[in-house]
Amino acid sequence: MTAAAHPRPSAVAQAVAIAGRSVKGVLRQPPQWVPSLVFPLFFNAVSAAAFDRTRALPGFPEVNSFLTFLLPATILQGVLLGATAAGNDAAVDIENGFFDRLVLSPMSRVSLLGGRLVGSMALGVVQVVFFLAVLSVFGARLENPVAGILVLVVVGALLAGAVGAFSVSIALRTGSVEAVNGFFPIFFAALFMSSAFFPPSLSGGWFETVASVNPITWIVDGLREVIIEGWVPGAAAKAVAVSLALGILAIFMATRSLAARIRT
Amino acid sequence: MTAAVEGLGTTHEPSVLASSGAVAWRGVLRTLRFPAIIVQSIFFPAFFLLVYTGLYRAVTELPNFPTDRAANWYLPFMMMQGAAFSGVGAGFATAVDIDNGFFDRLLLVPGRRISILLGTLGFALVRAVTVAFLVMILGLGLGARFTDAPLGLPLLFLGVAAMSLIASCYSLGLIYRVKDQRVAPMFQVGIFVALFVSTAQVPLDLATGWLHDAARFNPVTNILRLGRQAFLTGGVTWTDTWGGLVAVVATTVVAGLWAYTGLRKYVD
Amino acid sequence: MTEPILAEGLVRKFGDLVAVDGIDLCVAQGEVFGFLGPNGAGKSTTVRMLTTLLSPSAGTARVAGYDVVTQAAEVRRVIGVALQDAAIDPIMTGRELLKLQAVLHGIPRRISRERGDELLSRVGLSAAADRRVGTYSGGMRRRLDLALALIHEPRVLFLDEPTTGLDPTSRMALWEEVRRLNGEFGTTVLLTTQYLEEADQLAGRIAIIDGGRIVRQGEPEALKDAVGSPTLRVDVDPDHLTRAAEVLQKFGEIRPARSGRLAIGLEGGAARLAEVVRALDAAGVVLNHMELDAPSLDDVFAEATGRRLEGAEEPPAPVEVGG
Repeated sequence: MTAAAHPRPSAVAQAVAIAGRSVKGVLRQPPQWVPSLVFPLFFNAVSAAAFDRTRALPGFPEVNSFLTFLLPATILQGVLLGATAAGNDAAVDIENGFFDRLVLSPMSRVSLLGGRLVGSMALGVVQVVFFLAVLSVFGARLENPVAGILVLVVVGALLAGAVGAFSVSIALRTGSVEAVNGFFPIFFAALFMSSAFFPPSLSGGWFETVASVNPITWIVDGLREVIIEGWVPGAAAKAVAVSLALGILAIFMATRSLAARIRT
Repeated sequence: MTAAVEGLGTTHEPSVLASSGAVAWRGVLRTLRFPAIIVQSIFFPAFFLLVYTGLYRAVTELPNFPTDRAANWYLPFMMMQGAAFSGVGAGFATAVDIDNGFFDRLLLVPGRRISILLGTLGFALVRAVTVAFLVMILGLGLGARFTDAPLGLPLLFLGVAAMSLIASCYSLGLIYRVKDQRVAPMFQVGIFVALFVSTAQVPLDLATGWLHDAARFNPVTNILRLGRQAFLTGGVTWTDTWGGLVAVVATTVVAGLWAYTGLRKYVD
Repeated sequence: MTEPILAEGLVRKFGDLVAVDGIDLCVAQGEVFGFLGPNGAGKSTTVRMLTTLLSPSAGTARVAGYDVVTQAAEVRRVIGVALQDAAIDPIMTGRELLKLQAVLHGIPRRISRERGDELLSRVGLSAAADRRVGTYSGGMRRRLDLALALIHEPRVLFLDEPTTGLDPTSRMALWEEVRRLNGEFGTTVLLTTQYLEEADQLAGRIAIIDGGRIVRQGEPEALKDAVGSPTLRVDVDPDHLTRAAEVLQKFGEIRPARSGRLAIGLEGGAARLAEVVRALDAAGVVLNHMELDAPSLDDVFAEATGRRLEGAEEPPAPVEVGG
């Protein structure tokens, strides 16, 4: 057997290898994924029990429980927590030098990035399914289960990819785990300043204004309509399109960060 | 003076107060050198105060809500949250000391080791009160208004101090026993659960289901009730005070014992 | 007067692991006592017990006349400790750490300032005193650690692997300081080391520790003399190892050696060297290298444990610097 006999591996095979590695990496470190499953459920449980009576306020959407109302928030929170792990991993790889080895391997740059994002998205899908399964036991209801699950899974995957790409981009720019974690509160703030936890129309004031220009509000509103009303093509399209746009923007940023990192 | 100390130099037994002060002083010094620490401990309570007062403004419109201003309801909680996370910070700092070996040097201090604990708690307290005070200023800016400042304010800061001590002692007791930095996320998890399974978000009467039952038995609920009197309709009453005082004393004592016995066990 | 360090049957277990397995120790006033052994032999665990950082599982120990368990606070007042990894907070400056240490030892400010300055200059850190410790080199950290251990003029000084990882110059400087402390102030020193040369150079008496037990104890010279014959080390063609061993056996007992080498305790010493060479030649053994050394502490260790001390080649020979 000679070294020259190895054909150049396909980009897909490489991407699958990287994706597999990042999924394995996450699975082997329970502290990385347990919080992203448990924390949103806890927060959902506390808030649903605390604010259930607010459904009586005039102007609150017709919904069977606050738990159902919070479904998009729970999913987004989980995806946010989980997908930041991709950036964390990338930063660790850069800090310990493994990233250099990946770059030196005959690997296409597309798979270097793509593999990680596919890994994030796969975890996102798992999270969405897990949350839906648990919360449906406690009374969360989808008006049209097939449409609801489909839209939530697609949006969950897209957002996981977007958040993953954002955090990988920060990791590539800074090469520091601390910087990646430092950005987490910003994602978190964006989630809180949206319609995820309470109807902004009831909040009024500056909050309503901020929430109305927050893309997360657009996604949450679309999802909520699908959850409460059933198959509403316009709402589903809105949630998917905004998530997709965020994903594309994030991937564009990550690609540029990767190019910048390899140049240096 | 015992015969065994005929040694070379001036070795004195420092007072517990002096050693505790030295340990606390080190915390102050580190914070001044790393202002990011204080910025971080203010960022979260300040951010959540801003969000909660905006997001849940309408909650006060529910029947029997004890104030008509969301800031009045959420400000005391955010002050206590800031205090609690300052306490968690004390646990983090000790975890780092244990990791890099500096904690051994502290353990080598002559005299009683309780000064290590007292100094750490003292600094956490200073930090907590500072954070709470700054958050309070922000809260007043966001529309919070006192209903009974003369009596309520001391009680509010008593609650802040208690939350700081409880969270510090909980975290320190844990790290003294486990001696491994990886346990540090458990500081936050424990405090987070204790804080939120209470009347943090809505009054007890409005909470439903399991939260209502669990919050009733959570001492944090009593401490919140104690501290909130400064801002709620009706001001300070004995009914809302005594339970809080009991909770403050009992919880602080239990947490203090947890930390102290942990420190005692450290060298086992 | 009571001995500065006295231990009887000291044992420490971590779960099922017995790190220290019954150590008896007696260090006299004004002595520099060396604790020599490989990594994991139980040196640090013993020091941690003697300095009250760890409770013994069994046995007793007294330091400066105080029991390390029941009178731990008194023990800490009269000992100075420099720990293995230079336990230093990187965010503080050298001077701040000295000041903290002085306050913790109840030294009045007036005295502590004076003594702090003197210590800083003695360990050569005056210029760096106001820099954060995080910017210090390994050698500087160790020297600061030593200064911290000395601020209260301890009667008994514990140095846990004080020169591990240091460059030769820093190592020499630290040795010099230990000698000075011991010579000028009569401070009793217990130091642990994995370096043969360090133990040989500094310690008046040593204990060799392996697997949690003391396997030899005494003055280095006496221990070496007890080994008796010098060690003959031989490198032969790998194919001839067995044959060479058979020949060498006749000249003395086989001693542990690195793989691919042979060593014996050459009875009769250098006078029989020619005889050995002739015998090997007659057996058709091809000799690559041969050396004869007076017994070293490594030989003592090898004789006691059946192994060579790991890293026995270290430390690299100290380089003499000008001045």
